[in-house]
Amino acid sequence: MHIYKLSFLLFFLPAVLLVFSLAKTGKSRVKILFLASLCFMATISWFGLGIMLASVWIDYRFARLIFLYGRENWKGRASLFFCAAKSILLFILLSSFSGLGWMEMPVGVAVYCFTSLGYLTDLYQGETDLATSFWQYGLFCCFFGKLYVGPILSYDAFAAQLRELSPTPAQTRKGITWLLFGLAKKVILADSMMGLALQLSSIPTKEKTVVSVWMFIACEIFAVYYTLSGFSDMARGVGAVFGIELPENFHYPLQADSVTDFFSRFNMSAYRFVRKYIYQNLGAEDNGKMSTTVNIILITMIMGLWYGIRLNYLVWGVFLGLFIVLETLYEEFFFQKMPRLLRHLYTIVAIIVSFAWYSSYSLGQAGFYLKAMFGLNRTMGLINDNCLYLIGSNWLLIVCCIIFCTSQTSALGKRFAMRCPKAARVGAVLRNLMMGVLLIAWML
Amino acid sequence: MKKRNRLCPAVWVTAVLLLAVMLLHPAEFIDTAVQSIPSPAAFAGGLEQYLQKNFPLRSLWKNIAVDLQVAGGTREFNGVFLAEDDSLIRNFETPEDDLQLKGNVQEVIRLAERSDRSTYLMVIPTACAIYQEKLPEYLPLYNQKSALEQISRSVYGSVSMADAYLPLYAERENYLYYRTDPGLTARGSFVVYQTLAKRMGFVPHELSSFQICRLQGSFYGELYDRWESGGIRGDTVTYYQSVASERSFSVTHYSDKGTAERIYYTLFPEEAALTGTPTDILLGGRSPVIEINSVGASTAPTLLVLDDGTARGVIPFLAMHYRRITYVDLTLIDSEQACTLSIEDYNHILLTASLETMVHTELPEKLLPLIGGK
Repeated sequence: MHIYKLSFLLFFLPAVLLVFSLAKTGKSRVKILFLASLCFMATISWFGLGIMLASVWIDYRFARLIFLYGRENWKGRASLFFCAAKSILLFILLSSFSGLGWMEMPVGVAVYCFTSLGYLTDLYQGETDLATSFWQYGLFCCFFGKLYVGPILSYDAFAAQLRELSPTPAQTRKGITWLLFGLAKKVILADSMMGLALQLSSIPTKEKTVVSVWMFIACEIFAVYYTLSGFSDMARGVGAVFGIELPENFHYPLQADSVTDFFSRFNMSAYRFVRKYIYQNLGAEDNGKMSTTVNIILITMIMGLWYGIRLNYLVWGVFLGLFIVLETLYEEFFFQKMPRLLRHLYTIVAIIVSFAWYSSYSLGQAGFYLKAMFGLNRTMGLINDNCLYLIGSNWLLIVCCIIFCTSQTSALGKRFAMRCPKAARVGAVLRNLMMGVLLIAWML
Repeated sequence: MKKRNRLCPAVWVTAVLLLAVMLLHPAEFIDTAVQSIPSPAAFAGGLEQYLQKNFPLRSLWKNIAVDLQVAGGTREFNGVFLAEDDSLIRNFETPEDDLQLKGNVQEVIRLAERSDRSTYLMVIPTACAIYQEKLPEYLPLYNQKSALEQISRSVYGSVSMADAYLPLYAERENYLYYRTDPGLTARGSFVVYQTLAKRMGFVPHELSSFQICRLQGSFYGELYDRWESGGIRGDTVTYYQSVASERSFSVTHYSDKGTAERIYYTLFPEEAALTGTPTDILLGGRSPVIEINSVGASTAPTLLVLDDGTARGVIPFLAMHYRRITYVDLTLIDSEQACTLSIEDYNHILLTASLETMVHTELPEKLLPLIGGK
């Protein structure tokens, strides 16, 4: 079972909602949600459930030691080191095994490992309180809504909401809307884009053209963006339905006006995590140009590896990191002298080129794509019938993906709601109904 | 309190051991330990499948999705194109190389060289080539004409090949292929028959010597099932009954065990169409071997037809020129049954196949026993 399947929407979610609404106290609701998260994981794989429970339970037990001994005692330091090593090793091993095709990557490893690690670090630094209930801690790490791509949030922000856990009607409405938006992004846009990217990548090498390679990379970007942001929206939606507010994780990254801006909009919670726990501890930008450069490259490398242990992801991070270094060191030129339109253009080209690494299986393949994109492959034409056919038969999908990756429709909606609030409310209900119909049609 | 302290190390050891086993042997762990436990994943998978299949008004929902995608420019679903006139055309996938085609052509040549009988080959192009103008703009198509020319060049001197491409293309405005099935209609079969007759050296009957009979009801073929959405008109099944010939026929179907299973005393048994699919009106449906005997044609030659199921509709036309036709369906016959057939028993041998079969499927395993297992 997955969050984007009919069985989740028509069976699991209503069943959990029913049991949840029958419980009267906040504590019992927490227990129900944690047990539901375990059941959800069990419907994906026993192995994933075992790993998740073991990892979270170990962290929960060590949190007491960290709290008890703190940073002053070696036992506190050793406990944090052990938990950090366990989480990082678990992520690296499972990601590598899945990369080698030995097994399927269990869902949510990065989310629960790094959520837990962030909490333990905060605890070690005395920035948060000790979690005294395993139910609460388990739910904080493994809430089924956010298992796919997060968002990763602090324990304080999460635990504060668990005292009541009684969703308001406004929260429920918002939750349903987010859930529908997320599903539409994943099921309609991302999956269709993935299909188009697959068609483009399966064009025989001798029939590939410059435009088909650019198109393939652009499709990959859309597929990745709509998949990840779809999962994040679904997480926010499922959370809101149960009265848990989760932060936004993707804020229109493709309309960023610099690569730095792109990173701060793309998987925001992961980027915040890396900046807070690694970048700041390394001294951020305080120790001169060389140190800043190394620190930036290091965090972008880690952001690349967040998506899996692969050399191509690492290079993707390094490549974008170089732009961030330039933007940081020559801030005045980038953000004051360069016209806004040019900044957007520069950012989008840098992102598309970077995805030549992200979308490839090897550095060699990425090299082939890069050569093709810049017309360095002499035998390759600019465009052919194959490419024109794929554009013609997917034009609506391409147009929708371009429109919905910007904030224009959202801004228009907000403006309309300001002017005619009643009509906007009716419109929102109709929009949600229409989206529900489309989703069922697509999911069957 | 003491009890809890004693329990803790045990839980710790178990957790660490479990983690170690999972990490060191993940694949084995899944294969052995996990599969023996009742699986909620299997339950969820079953539930998902059930919901998908039994969702209320399923076809209506599917139609919404397909209609919207069609409006957005998409014309291909599951390898089936929606043509301009709302008919369905199967995509002809371009092969990575022509090794399969070359191998099949070599096998046909070997079959012809094995016997001194006249051997004919008819490779039928698919609707994808004949109706190419109805397909989406810029769609890269496999060049079927060129492939047929390549086959013709390769078999030259060994096998007499009839080219169905040009006659079918010339008649492309007519109803040559079903709208919901990749098969030839009666009209398409008639065009193939006329081409074949000229190549085989006899004068084909004119269209005016047939009465066009129409079956009631609509026929929804294989492509309709693959399309998975409504909004497509069904096909009308017709057959051409000769009004000129006074001959009577017996059609015997042999099962895969070689025993006579059914006998019809007409080329178009309507009862078969009523109990099976409408296209079963042609010879009474499909069987590995069908023998058609003509009464009152003792001097006419005999014919062995080796077909992949594409040219079954042509057999009723050919039956008017032969005393006995043995029709072998290469997709249904097994090697053992093929051994019981001898090409020496026939005056003419005709091999018919769709170009798709020649390009994508391996023929030798079916043809080898007929060649004598060389």
